[in-house]
Amino acid sequence: MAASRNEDSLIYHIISFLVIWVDYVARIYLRVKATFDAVLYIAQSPTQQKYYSRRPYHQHQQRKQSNADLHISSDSIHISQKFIPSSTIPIQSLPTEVFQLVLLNGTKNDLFHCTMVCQRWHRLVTPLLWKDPSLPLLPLPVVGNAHPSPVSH
Amino acid sequence: MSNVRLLSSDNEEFVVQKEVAERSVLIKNMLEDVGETDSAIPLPNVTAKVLKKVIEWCDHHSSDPVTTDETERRTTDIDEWDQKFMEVDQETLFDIILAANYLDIKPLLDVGCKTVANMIKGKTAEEIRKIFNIVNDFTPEEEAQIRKENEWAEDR
Repeated sequence: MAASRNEDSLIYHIISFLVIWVDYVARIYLRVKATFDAVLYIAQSPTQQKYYSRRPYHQHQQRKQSNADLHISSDSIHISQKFIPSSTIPIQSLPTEVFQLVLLNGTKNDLFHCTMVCQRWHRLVTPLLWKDPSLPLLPLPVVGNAHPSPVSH
Repeated sequence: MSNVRLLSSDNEEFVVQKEVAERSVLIKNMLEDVGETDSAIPLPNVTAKVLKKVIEWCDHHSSDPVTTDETERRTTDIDEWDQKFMEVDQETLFDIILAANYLDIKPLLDVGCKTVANMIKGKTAEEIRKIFNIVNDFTPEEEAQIRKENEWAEDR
């Protein structure tokens, strides 16, 4: 009886030892993976452009950057050059809220044509077009004599 | 009538009547917070060229009643003087709009927005691109798809 109980507790000890170790290893794995994911995410996110565009101001602190880093920064220069033309177009310099304020003055038909101008306009105008079927400045639909409302009788 | 000194981003100083400067809610609030002051108010987002235009507008409209009714403000047409005032190149026009937004001069912002809206009014996408010098970054398929999705809104 005592021997079997001893055996039981031995097995119990071994199992709990294994479980704790598996748990421990799994935790370490998850943390390391999460760290890698975070590093990859930050490296790929568009904020890198902002970061590198600020480089000139503290370049002296970063002289020892590796070649790989230089490669990325030349990449981001390429990207920013690609986008310069659109930012020098005056109307594209308007922030979203002001741009949408402009379009609140347009009719639905105007907004329809605006959605097809370019990607940015499509992104900003489509919600305005679909938000409200009767935009604030649309001339009120004429409820003419053709359909008299029952209230008026 | 006391004067207020305004300093543009390129360090040009403008002396304007307090009443004129207070068309800008930003400046009005600043003056209320600071109280009587001799130092110039720095406006780091506005260049001298644009600030001059904005002051010209504020001066002309200094005695306008303040309209708080949103819809009334939005629906009134641009008066003749404002139309003339807005006859500037696009860069200046959008700079004025940005300044009006920053300085919180709602009636001027409205005039600017209406002016741009009038440029868009009744135009096709291609005409709008031409007016504002915008590059079409859609493929023909994408453009056709968007047209299809929104065609309910088109006047026919």
